[in-house]
Amino acid sequence: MASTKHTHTIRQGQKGKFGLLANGSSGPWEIAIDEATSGQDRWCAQIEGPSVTLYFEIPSPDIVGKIIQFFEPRQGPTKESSIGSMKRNCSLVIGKDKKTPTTLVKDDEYNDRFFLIVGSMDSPIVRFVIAGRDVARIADALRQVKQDLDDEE
Amino acid sequence: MTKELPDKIDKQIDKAGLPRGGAVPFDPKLEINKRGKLVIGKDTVTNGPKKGKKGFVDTRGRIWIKDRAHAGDPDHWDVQEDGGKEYIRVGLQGNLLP
Repeated sequence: MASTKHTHTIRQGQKGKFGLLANGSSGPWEIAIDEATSGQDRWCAQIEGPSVTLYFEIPSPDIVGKIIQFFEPRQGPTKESSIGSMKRNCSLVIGKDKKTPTTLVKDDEYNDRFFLIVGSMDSPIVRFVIAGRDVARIADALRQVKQDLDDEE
Repeated sequence: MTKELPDKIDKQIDKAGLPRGGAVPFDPKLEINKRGKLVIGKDTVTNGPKKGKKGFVDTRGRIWIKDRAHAGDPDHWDVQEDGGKEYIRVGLQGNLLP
């Protein structure tokens, strides 16, 4: 029987002990990065808003800084497109799962509007709008998370 | 009696809005991470309508899940017992909601 050479992403909800690595909150938004306390290195992001909860595996805590940067005003185009990198500065893959990607997309109409896409960009399962004050609050919570991560080093 | 916690964990409890006082204060279950540092344990609810949600674990193994204001109740914590088979509702100040 042929065996796959691909590394399968371990999906959320599977067993394994986790602990809180870093967190932040601003208004109704709370963000946490959890880390596996045993087994292989794994990290998950929990994003809680007034009417939505997201929990997904991330490639590493480094993604937090990239998301903060992504929410900042556009600097110029980049060409990378792998996980955790920016594609033409308009999208950022933030989840580790390649089968069901989690992606942030920058609106091309309003500077303060973003979309969080769960699933393929062509046929998303969820398309969640983040705009205006929520963008500022999420960025604020992320900066607190980043501070926690920096303190850990 | 309040136990001494690392400064980072103190701040994380504050940021999460977990109660430190009242009749039912949050007393974190601490885990040791791979770098040998203490972290607040997190776990997944396995029963009931909150099944699948991740929350903060206390020393009694209960999982604290934030619940937003609704039906006239303010923001509070649904403290899941036995993986979510039962739960109690705790206000942000650490007191049981009626």
